[in-house]
Amino acid sequence: MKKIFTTASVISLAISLTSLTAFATTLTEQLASYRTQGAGEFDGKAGKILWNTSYGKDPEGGERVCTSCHSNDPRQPGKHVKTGKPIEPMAISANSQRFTDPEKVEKWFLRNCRQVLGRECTPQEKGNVLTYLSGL
Amino acid sequence: MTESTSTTVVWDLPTRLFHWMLVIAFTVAFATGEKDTLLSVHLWSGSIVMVLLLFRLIWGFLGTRHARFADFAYSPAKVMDYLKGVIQCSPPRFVGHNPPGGWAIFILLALGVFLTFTGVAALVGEEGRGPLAGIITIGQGKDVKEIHEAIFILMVAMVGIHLAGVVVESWLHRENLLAAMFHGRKRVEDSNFVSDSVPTRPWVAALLVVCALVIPTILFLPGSKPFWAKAPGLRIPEVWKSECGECHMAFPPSLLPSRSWDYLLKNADNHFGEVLTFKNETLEALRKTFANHSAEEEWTESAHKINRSLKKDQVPLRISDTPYWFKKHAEIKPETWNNLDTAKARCEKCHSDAYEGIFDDSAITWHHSIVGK
Repeated sequence: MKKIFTTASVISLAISLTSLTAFATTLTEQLASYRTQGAGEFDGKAGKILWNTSYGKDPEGGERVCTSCHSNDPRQPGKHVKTGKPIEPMAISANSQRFTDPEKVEKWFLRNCRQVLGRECTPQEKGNVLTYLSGL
Repeated sequence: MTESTSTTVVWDLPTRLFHWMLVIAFTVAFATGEKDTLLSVHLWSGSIVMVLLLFRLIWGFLGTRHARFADFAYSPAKVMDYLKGVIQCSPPRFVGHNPPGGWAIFILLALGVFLTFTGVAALVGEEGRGPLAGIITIGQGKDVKEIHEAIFILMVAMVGIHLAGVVVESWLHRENLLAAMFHGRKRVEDSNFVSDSVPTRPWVAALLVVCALVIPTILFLPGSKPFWAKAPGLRIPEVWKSECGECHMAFPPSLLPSRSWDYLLKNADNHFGEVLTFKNETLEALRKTFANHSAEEEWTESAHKINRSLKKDQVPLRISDTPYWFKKHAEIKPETWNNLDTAKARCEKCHSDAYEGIFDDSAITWHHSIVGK
């Protein structure tokens, strides 16, 4: 009995570690791809600064800053600044689904950096932000 | 004087119960057909009529002797014969239904079947609900509703003729046909008539009563979904829900005409101040969605009303810019819209069926404080 229990727990531990590493691999792969595009070491603190910087006023009123939709604390749910629609937390610790789909990550970086910064984010900036959000 | 005083059972119990349940259900449906607030009673009684008629159609083949259609399906010649007899005040006597009576039953059954089935379609036109919602359009439902009302008039006329016939024959044959429909017995007169009583069939009678009452009542229990959202016209494709539902609720395509969606997708790089990006195949999938589900398709009541409220050249970019939306929300205090939680874009806050695009009156929950003068 004890042997079966031990074997079962070892196997389930192995499976969960594998899926964790699989998940971690997606983010690692993404960061690696940014490195191949010219980014250097990633800095979570720089990511946090970008996240909280206001890049000017929005023509319809309000500030252009990530936190206006994603809230000051990425572990909390956010709210779309114009429509009020609830947005799931950005921090991986609060939302394990974040950054598991590279296409989705790139799509939203494209749209939201254009919206907030007025231009596309560089691979360095993207990597910094992902590092910040995955480290919370 | 060789008149026999014995009787024989002519009408079995299921037939008698069917008859009187039909009278009551039809009367209730009749009485509730015009009032909006009594629609659910109308639907409930109408569906009882449907179950009863279905029974009678089956019983017409499997029932006891005088319940079977073959027993009272007479030729036109026999009908004329009988009517001539009436004029001469001595029509021939039939133990079961007489010839014109038999024809009246066939006509009533046919009218009843048409009435109930057109009713199901009319419900789509009236409320956008029921088993045919999303299968026929609101416009088609409204057209069938006219037919439903015409058949109703014919049926009432036929009921009148039926009642007249019962009175005339009762008088001419000196027998109480009304009472016969309760206790099932008619008098036996000499050897021309077979004198065996028909079986009572109590179990069939019990099954009939249970089905006729239980099935409609379950269908109309509170909480039963009035829509069958899997119907093709009502299903919103996943691609629409995911692409259009990330920054606001995925506004159902049925709420704007296709020319509006077309404009919005063509101008995706300026979507109310936001820049949207789409892969080509996503764009194609979205175009296909609104080609089949936009307001002009009129799968839902709101689609129908919004579409009809617009001018031909109007291209509203917001659902809240349509005249119908404006009219329906006119009594809400304007400051309600300033709060992000109850903004115009937050349909889902008050309309619990907003995601499916249905907007049934009964699915609205609101706080009385937002309704003002």
